[in-house]
Amino acid sequence: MTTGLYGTYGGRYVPETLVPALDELEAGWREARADPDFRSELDELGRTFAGRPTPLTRADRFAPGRRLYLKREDLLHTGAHKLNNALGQAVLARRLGKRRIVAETGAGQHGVAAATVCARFGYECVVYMGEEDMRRQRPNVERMELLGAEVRPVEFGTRTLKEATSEAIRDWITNVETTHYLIGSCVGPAPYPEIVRELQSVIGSEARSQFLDAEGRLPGVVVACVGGGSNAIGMFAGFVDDTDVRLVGVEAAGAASLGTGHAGVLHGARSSVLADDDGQIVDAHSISAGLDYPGVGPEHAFLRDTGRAEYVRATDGEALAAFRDLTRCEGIIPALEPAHALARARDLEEELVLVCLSGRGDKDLEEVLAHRAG
Amino acid sequence: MIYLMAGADTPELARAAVDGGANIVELGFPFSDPLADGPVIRRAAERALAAGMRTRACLDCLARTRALAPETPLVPMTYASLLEAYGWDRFASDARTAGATSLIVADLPAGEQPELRRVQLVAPTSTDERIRLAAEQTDGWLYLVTLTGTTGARDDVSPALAGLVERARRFGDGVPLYAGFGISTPDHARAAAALADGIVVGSRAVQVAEDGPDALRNYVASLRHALDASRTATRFSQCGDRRRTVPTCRVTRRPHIRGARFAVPVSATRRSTRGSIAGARCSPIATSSSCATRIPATGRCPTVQRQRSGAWPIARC
Repeated sequence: MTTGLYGTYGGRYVPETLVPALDELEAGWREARADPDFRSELDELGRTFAGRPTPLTRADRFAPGRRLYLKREDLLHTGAHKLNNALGQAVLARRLGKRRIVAETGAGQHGVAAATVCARFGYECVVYMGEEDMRRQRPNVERMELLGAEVRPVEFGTRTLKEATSEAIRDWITNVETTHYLIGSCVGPAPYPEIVRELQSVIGSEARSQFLDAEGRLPGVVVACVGGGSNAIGMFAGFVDDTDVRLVGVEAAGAASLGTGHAGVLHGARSSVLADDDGQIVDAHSISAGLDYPGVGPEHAFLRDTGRAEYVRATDGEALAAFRDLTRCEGIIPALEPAHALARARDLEEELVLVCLSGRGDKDLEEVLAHRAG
Repeated sequence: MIYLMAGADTPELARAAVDGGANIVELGFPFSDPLADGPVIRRAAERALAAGMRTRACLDCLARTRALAPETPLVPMTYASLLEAYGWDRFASDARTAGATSLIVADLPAGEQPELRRVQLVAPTSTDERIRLAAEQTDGWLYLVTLTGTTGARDDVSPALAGLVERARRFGDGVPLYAGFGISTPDHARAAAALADGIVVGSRAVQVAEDGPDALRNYVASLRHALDASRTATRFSQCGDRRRTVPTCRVTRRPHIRGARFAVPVSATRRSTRGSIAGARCSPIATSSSCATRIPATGRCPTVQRQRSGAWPIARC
């Protein structure tokens, strides 16, 4: 009966009200996946609207003496990989007959992607965002509002992504008959982790063939940042069967659900979470709003336990240094989230390195400048 | 049924609720991220956690409540994360030892962790198939979530309740149905109880409890009064003999709750349903003496015995 398991992780830990909607979503998803029109519509949208394929850029000055490549999801429309998922779920929502979208957002990148697809598809859009994140990511709030979304501040608890996700789920519980919950990462109850992974797997499959074109062989290591883990799971999807390719996820040191967390239940799934001994979720801390989340996708917990992927950490300071270096050495301003991946990618011993540059850093300028001044 | 958040004063509050006429007390074990709860219970949970109400303290609170309300079924309500951290079996066993009659886990729908015996919830969105599954797996009674939404007072009883009750009667195998979410006033109580077998009041009770045991007792009594008044009226009309009132004829039913130690008294106005309780059916028009003859004093009614999760009436008129 239990569905959507990755080992002992995943599942559906939600109030009963949502179970029929998840069943409906799962059926709609299976049908869509089997339908060639769904795939071709997504490919078309990717090419003509989102800007796929995104290029692979070699970063010689950033990583001298190595062959380090960046998968440029920062060049995707809206500035981050989040659009891959938002477009796919928007098409899915249309197939399910839902015309109202709720979403949560941390850094605002998923919120912007959700607002963007809602504008394009003509949906009503409500985005929940923690008050603290709204302060940190002001430009993205303004973008969402320009795009016609209603941004609802979440003014209690941690005032970050965790509470925003809870409120989005509560909205969904209340409006489940008309509303699709456009979750932004590979977290949440089944079938969400699978849907998001599949929709983000375009990153890994493109990067794999681009890397082969560039180098004639596969990278020794693939690196991506992990908050909820959607860019990483999409990137890893392209290489998980290539057992010689090392997979490394980089968490924020203050939000290392995989590194320092243990099994728990948060936002509808059993995964590795930051919780105390009583199962109470504890606050995460990261300079990067997108990584500031005490949970992670269940498939990552599974990949960690099986040893297929490794998860390491980068501090705020290390991420800021990598942010500065990539900006100065390569002329690319990364978001603070992938700056964590960049920070650790430099330490790895492999010669051939592939890093997912999941988003661009315009949204982070104020935060970075504030830290510099401080 | 009255919901209270676990806390230092909860045993006294629970006692007051019982004195006011509550038949069951639901005891909230707070969780940091309560998805099914609206603002009132969410804030109560935040305060409880800030006051140190972790799992161990909640179990102690349960045991103290049990001591003050020895006859009342007590049902902890919480979220899966607490059980995951404490250990599923250990939680169930320690809760039972502390006096729990059953358990409600708000984010554990029927089908997940089927080995954990608990009260299942059904919602207006539940399919007939899921209602059947929940009734099959539930521990004694079904919790009807009256609306699509989170906990919290509403202006009116949800219009979705009637349809849900109708389906739960049809597919629920005769399991008693208690309606909760959005019920806060005596009028709500009356309206919901006209459909379901019992009502659950949460957010409003938590708010009233902030004013202390007396306020809670009076509030619960106002609900009790509304329920009893409407039931007496039902009896009059069904019995057709206004001179022979039967205000105290009650049937004590013992839900088939594993580890249950206490009977659940309910007013004997239960509607006829598939596999209905023969004794209970007689009650609305029964006098004390006829009730005693029609419900075997030893309890087991043959039609009920066959029910998997049904209850058997014991005469106590």
